[in-house]
Amino acid sequence: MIAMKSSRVKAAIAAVALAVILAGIGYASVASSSYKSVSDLLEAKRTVKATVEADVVPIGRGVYTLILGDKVYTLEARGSYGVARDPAGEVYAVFLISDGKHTMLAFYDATDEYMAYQMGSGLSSSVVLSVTYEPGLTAILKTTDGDVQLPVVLVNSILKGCHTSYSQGAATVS
Amino acid sequence: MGGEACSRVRLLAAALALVALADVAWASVAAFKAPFPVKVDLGAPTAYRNLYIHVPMAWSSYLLFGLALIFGISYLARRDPKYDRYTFYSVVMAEVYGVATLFSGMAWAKESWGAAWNWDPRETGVLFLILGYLGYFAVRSSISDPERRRLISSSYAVAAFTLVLISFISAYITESLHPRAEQTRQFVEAGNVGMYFGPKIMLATITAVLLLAVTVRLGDCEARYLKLAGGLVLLIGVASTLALVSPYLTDSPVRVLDAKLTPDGSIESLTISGGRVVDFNPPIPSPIKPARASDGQPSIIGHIVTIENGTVKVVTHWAVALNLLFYSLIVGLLMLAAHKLARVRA
Repeated sequence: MIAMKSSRVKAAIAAVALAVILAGIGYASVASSSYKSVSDLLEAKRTVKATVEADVVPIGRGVYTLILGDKVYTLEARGSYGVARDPAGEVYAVFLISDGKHTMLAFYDATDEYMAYQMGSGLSSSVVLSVTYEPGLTAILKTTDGDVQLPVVLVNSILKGCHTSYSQGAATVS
Repeated sequence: MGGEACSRVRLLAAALALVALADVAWASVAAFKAPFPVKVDLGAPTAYRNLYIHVPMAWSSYLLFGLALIFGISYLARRDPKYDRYTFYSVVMAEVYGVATLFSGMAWAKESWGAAWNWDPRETGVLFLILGYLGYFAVRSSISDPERRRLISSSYAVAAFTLVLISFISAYITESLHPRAEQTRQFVEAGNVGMYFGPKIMLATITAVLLLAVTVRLGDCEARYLKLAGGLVLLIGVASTLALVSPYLTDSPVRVLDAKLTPDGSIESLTISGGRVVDFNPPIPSPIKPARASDGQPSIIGHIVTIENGTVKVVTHWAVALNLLFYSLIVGLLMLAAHKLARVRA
């Protein structure tokens, strides 16, 4: 009887200890999944893939020149984002992201159609992006106000949550 | 097992057969007919019909992990081997439901979040939950002494429940693309969403509990119609899936990128994939009701449609078909395998 009670207590202690360990590892894994900021990305010493949340800085309106690596693009700025075209006619979306401390140029290799669909009339003021950041990759943006050199982040996809969708009311197919 | 006990199990199996058939049939109805948000941030609004499949599946897996916790505690308190068997089967089924939930969420996220996998806290939490409970089987198989195996694996099943809590609160403790329960509830209370969602969550819950109850009690009893019902569940699921994906196979669905509506909500023109503009003269009624979101944006935007002979048909997003297939597969196969599972030496 005493032996059984003792093994019960041992089992309970083992379960609690294991629960604490699993909770700690689980919490750490979930917490490490939280979004990075622009400043966090800039601290990276090697190429990283990350999910970053940032404010969108208006890029203005007009036609600029963008130099990225050895390529020169014509950038048509449309307010919250711009469409960059290389000499071969390939199009990319370009926008500026910031966390209030640092600003980066986001370069998105997407089809024009998908951009139009995903961005609609423009980007929202805050975005969540799946990105690849290569330290040292910079771009020169030549605007009417002068040249600006910015670190570059390559966008894999623009991510959206479901949060606001649920408050829109319900629709049906007639 | 005695005749009376077998009769009781057969009764349970009959209930399971009926409920599981109703469950998968209702999931199919929801996949074709259920409401979706008028306007979504990204992708096809019909992808949100996954709500009627993914959420009940996720809830069922949490419920089964919860039952594993209760049975684990019961074993530790009473040392009755039957509770150890119950714990084992609860974890087996919860893992099957959990894996299906993870994949169904990824299929939905591909359309509605913009990426199937992006280490979102909820995705990470569920992945860690599934991996963590796999440890239960590793622990179990590594101990040869039966009493010690039962004791340690039950302790593990109790401890591992913290992973369920972590995965559930992951969308609360850090920013996540995954909605919180109250946001989902807000939508469920809109229009006649609850009419589809309420019965679905109830049927899925009862199916999961009956699947567990029948499997742990079946023993050597025979309940042949369980296999028949499992086969029918698979048939309904596969047939509905094929019907849902048929427009992708036979027609050429396109995405609506923009739309022009008349003041009364009829469609004047649609801009579709490829930037092509399709005019409708005279304007046609919008197949989506209401035709506009609260901000005035045409509710047809983002939808996948087929356009033929001046008519627009809305196509349900493929992720819904895939998830319906996932769900009918897990329920159907667990029913088909119930006899074999029941004879596994837990």
